[in-house]
Amino acid sequence: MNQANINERINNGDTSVFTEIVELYQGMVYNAVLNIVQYEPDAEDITQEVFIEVYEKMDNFKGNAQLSTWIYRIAVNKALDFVKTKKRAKYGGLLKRVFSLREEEEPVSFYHPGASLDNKEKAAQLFKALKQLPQKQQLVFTLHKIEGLSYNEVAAILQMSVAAVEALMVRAKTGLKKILENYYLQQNGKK
Amino acid sequence: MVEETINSMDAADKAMPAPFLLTRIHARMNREREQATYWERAIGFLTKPIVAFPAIALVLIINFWMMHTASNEVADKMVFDNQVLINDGYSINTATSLFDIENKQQP
Repeated sequence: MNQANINERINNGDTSVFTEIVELYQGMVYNAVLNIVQYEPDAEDITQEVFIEVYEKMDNFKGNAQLSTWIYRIAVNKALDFVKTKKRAKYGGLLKRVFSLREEEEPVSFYHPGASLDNKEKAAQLFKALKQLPQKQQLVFTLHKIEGLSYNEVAAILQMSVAAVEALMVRAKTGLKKILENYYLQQNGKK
Repeated sequence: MVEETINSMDAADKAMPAPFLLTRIHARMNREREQATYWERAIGFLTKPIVAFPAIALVLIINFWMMHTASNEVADKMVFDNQVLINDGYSINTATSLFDIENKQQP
């Protein structure tokens, strides 16, 4: 099944194509979301939400953009919304503590399930450092470096120019280097 | 070390969601649809003229009854307050004490 075929079927109002979309793009969506939210149960939940939105808005898809780009955009937006809501909930946690409501346990480090055993710790450090970058730099780095998308694809997903994506990527790398250098200096100092 | 960390995800495998994602999506969609229909049904019931008009009428009746009761209480209190004022103003002592009974003044 190719992209053009899917676009055509969506435009013809064929809702059975949804099953094929889920089969084809579930890995892509899950990975993109997981790399942003850095917590598997949340990523699973958001992946479901992304496909529900895809199903609901399938009629609005005009085929001007690539289907994958459109789905990526929904996934990135959903993941970012989730991160924002979670941050807000974290800062507004006083009320919860006062009424001693159970807060969700948050993992200290994120170990990506796809990272090789040798690189597990380093990857966890990378994700920790990524969280400290400004959001756009974090997104560009995740989509280009971790997801392996081209600058053109990242630009289409984030709706910005390729030059802007390149600039953000340079800044992201510089920022990461600084954060990681500090981290390793501190680690060496402790030893 | 820093470069290695930055490149640590280069050869990583793709993560995959738990199996039967499509089934879970369909289940969730059904759940959400049912929830939506529950609220729709509730709103639909409340906005039926046979329910909505008597409900509005009941609220209005309670409102008028409360206003009427409150105004009666105010009127009663005003009469009482006026009586007290007259008594105080003209030194009319309506209370009869033991002193008055024992020391009756002869005409």
